[in-house]
Amino acid sequence: MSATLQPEAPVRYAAHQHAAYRTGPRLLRVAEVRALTTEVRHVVLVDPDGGHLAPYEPGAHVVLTTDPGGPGEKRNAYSLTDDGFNPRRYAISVLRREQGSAWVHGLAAGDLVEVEGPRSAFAPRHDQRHALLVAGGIGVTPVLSHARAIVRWGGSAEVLYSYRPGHAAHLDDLRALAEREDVTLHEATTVAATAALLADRLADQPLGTHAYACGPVPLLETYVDAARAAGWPEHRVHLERFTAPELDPGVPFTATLASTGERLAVPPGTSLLEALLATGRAVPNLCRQGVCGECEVPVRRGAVEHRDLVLSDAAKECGDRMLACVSRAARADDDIEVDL
Amino acid sequence: MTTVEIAATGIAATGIAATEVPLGLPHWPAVPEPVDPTAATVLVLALGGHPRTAEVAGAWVREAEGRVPTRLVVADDLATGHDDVVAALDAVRIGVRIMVVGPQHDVLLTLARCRAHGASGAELRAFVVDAEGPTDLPVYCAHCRATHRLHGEPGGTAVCTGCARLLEIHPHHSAARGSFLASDTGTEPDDQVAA
Repeated sequence: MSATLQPEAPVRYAAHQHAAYRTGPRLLRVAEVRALTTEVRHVVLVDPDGGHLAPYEPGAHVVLTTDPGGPGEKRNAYSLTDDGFNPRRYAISVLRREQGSAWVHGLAAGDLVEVEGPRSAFAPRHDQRHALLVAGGIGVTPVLSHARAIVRWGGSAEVLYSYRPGHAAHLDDLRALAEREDVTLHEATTVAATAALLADRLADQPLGTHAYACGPVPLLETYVDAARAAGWPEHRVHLERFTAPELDPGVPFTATLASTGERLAVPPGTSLLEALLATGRAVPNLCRQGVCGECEVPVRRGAVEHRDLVLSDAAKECGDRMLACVSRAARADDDIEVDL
Repeated sequence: MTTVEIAATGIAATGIAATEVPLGLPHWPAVPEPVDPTAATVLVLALGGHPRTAEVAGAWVREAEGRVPTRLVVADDLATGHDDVVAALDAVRIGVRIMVVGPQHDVLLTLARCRAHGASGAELRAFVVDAEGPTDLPVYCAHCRATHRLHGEPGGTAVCTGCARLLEIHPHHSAARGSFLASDTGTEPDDQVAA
């Protein structure tokens, strides 16, 4: 099961000219596949020529093209689990959930996979004095990357891991890290215990701490609420979502393209992204659920109902951009002029 | 409440449009700001012996203590109060809002100390009792490379107590150091006095 590189795949990030700094779509070889739990597989990718790979910030992800050329072809983002320093391998841990992840579970050593990135969307803050790292389920992957980087560079961290017994990927790795003095691991296996632990630990972090969480939506909501209750300023509370809540079909509206004046009708249930792609415009996109930020388009005019989980409140208020996959006009039959 | 982060100083002020903020200089609120209603705890640092300091610190404590755990640290001067301030900063937890009041010299250096402990602009509030005109300021001399307590104002001059040069105090403040940058005017202090 090997991929062939799609020749038309756009290189979005023109990087350093040395091959070891390539982040555009290229083929990497599967070096190892290992089951971490019954539902999670750890996949290690290496350069087919044995070279170095582009380094990355902790919390970064790569995008794999799953089932290339097949009916289930899709681009899925997976967090890298190492610290990102001078890597010779990219390691991801994949929960079997849908067609794309099932395809990854079918990979075997020697297969070639199209990989883009790494891309940093959940990086540590540079003024971080200490970190509170919160992981729920498979959200442990970027958290492990943060914890490993903190250990490498000599920082300190508290890790809070919420999991179902018997389904805790990388628990052994976190426990090994927690044998160090500067890393503490707290474990919770029920919703109530997780909420209590979050409230307790968020109330007891030294000045200069930043908190990072990755996990399912209910865990992230509990985390954000607990941080607010504990008086945390928003800029210290970071999270990465891998799922988004279901959205209603939305109101019908029109979109005017600034370059041509063309007007596109966007009926309920159709996204602006789909309408743009239907006209042949190559709008970059990935998750299509308002989580990854890939399909951000500039807006010239019109009130937008922002339904994404990416833009900050300030960016939403500014009104000069929107995520075409989920956001729509604020009112039915309004017109939004996009700068495309 | 809109909070604007002031460039260079990082002191948070409320209700000020970003375009009105003088870059590179601390902006002092005309009246003491209220206690942040989202705070989980409050630390009030009252610096120096000015009567207005005690008044403002007292008002902050009264406003905060009915709502959240509140601690007041009084330091008559930075040298003797240093250990108390550091101990208080070591003890606070995220969720705290640190409110500093006193003369500019002490407040600026204490805000820098808070930042060195990891506090950010959103966690700091400050009020100075000597906002107008020349006053004692922390001034970093570019020549003897030390911070001195000098009397003056940004744009004005002062004689360096370290190297005796006549310095121009530049309208350039470092939030990390707490001091204003100053450099040699090229004239002798005596020349200026004679002029």
